[in-house]
Amino acid sequence: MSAPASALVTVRDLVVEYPSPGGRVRAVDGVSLEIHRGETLALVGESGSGKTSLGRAILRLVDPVAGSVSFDGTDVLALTGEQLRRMRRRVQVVFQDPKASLDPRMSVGCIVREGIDIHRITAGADADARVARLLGEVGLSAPDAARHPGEFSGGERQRIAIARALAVEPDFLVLDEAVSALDVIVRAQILDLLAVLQAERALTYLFIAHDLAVVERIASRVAVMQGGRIVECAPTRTLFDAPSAPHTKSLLAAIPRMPW
Amino acid sequence: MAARTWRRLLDDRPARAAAAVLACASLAALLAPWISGYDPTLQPDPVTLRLVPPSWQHLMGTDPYSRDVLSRLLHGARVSLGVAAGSMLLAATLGTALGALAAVVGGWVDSFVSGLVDVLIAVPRLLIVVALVATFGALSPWWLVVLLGGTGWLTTARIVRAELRDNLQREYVLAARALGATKWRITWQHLLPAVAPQVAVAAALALAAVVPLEAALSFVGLGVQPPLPSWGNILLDGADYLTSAWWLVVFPVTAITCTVGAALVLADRLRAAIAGEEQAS
Amino acid sequence: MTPLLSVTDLRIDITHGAARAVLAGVSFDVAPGDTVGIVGASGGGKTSLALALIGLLPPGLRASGRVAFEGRDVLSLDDRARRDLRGRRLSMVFQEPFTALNPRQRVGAQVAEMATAHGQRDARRALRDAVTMLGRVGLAEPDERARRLPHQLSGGERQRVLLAMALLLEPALLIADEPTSALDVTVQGQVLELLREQQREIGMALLLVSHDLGVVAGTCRRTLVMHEGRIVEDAPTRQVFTAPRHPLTTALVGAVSRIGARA
Repeated sequence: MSAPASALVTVRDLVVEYPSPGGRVRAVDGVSLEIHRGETLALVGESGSGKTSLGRAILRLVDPVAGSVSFDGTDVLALTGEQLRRMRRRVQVVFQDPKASLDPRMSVGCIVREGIDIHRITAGADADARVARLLGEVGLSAPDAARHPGEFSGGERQRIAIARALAVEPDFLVLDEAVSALDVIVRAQILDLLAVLQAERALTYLFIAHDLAVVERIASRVAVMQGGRIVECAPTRTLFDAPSAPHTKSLLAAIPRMPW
Repeated sequence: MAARTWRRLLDDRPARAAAAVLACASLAALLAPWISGYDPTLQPDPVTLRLVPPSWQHLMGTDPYSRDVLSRLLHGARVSLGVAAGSMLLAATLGTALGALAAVVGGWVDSFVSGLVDVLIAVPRLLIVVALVATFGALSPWWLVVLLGGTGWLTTARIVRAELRDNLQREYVLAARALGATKWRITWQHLLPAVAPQVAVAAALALAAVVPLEAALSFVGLGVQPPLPSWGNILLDGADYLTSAWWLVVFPVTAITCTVGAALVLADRLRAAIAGEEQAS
Repeated sequence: MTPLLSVTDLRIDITHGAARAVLAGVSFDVAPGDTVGIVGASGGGKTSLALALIGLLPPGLRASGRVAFEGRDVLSLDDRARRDLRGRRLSMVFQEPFTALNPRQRVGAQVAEMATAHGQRDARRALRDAVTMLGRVGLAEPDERARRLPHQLSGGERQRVLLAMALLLEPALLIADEPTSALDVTVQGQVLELLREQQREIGMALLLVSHDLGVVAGTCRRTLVMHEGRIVEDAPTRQVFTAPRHPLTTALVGAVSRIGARA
């Protein structure tokens, strides 16, 4: 069965394993899904559900032991060398921990520029101008390029991470628990920023989270993972109003109730 | 972070003092031909100028061959510090390169390098050096550099390998991979700067180890050969006159002690600066 | 009734330089058995407040003012008196369970150490009590888990171990600093329920610090909102939700998910 023309990312029967003290652990156990152009697919699950491993396999930061991942018709797992590097321009990521995902020794400008330098998109003054523009787009300012990550708050660092990802002009962005480490108010601001950027740049998002409440506002479809498998995948409204899988129901039930 | 670590070090008074001592010693060594009053190898008057105690003409006295001790000390500094610095740089470079290779390439390269380090580290360095010198005969200072450098990279390699392996798991390295950076770019841009302060500590410690080592070798006649002066063989010349001509021993020993002490203080303060920086961030 | 905890004009300054105080004069009371939530954005001073109350401010910070716990001024106590107080009458649970546990010691022993450090001579009895406590905080198979090292437990299990340590000696007041942030949603609910249960059973007062009003809402009768080192709102939780007075409070209320209300 061929995927519909609008599927940007197609995953089929993916299996990811890790070595562990007691043998091998199956983090992703035969997952298939599609992500359509322009949509935001939320991937929700608790720790150990496999959602992070799935995200990393799609990014080809880990190699699956079985299954296939295709991006815009190309088999991602078969790519090597220069082709793989070119693909990386189109598929980018923002990680969870604002402290750990930015090299504390590099200046913000260098961090955002790294992708531009790697792919030789442009150089010199033009590259610096791009960095300044990107910083503006994510709500920071040009002089911030000279400062170091340690001088910024968690929310600001995530903005830097987003700028870094956008510098190579990707089509697809994996947000790996990108707001989970932020406090609620900053979380809302970053989610708003992501929505604006998606509209402006026609981006497709895979939004990985452990909290269903976070994804309600931004996702068009939600996939729920448990034990390495997808137990439910449905449009957001359907999932929240009429969940079918028991795990989805327990995740929904766990959201703190407002007594008023 | 590295910049802040160095700044922390510069603010530290013991570190500044130690750096000043080493700087003076290096400067003295470099300027030796111009500031020493006498030729270090000429024996002007082996009869009357022999074993003269420190005086205004000879600030550190003369040795059994009527040579001015101060001049010999200064020229000896060139050799001793030169050999120490040279071997330190060689050891640091080899250690960093091999440690990085083991950590980044992994696999059999890692097994090989780690195994090599584990085996060699168990052999006393002095033994290897003595054995090699005994085999090849008297060595010029350049070969001494190679010999001492070639046996001094082991700890650095271990440190670099451990740090790099640890850093390879960090999220910012993962982010660089996601951007498309090659392993080499990641090593150069992200990993080596991270490990630079620790390598500096290891280098300072290496310096502290090599200076006495070279002095000891020269003292037993296996290192720098006379008439080329080194701090060790100045002591050798004075060995028979320990009780009668104290200046032959005190000045070289002081020079060695000060240099080694300064290097150790620098290493310790740098380690403290690294730890302080880690705690702060 | 005398309050269990009475904080009067508590200030926290950075000892060397820096213009802004971390905490610029905070005053509030906690009655015995009361549940109080402290919310605010990160960097607002909540954690520093919690640490000051228990006397664990990191070296670089200095507290001044008065913190009266059961009538005694905590700030002026010496280390020994403070250590005696901690764990026995006044306990704290931190946000990151992993770093708060000794990675090389079995968790059962770490919990038992709470008792032995406070005078329990019988080591075996201490361990038995520890295992019982681990069961009460909801750890499955507590005997088996007690023998494990921290890294062999999941995040939720580790947090429960910390809770067991904090609750073992039935303190009068428990300060919980973001106890659920590092946990899965389903576990979050269980931990909060556990805190409420303890509170009911032993009449323990609870001071719950969080950046998420949603976490505080279901558990705390009263809520304090902190902003830049000051308390900007101190009211019954319901009122904080229905009639917020400070713009920060309004923003916090708005950021709370409304999904729960739907059900």
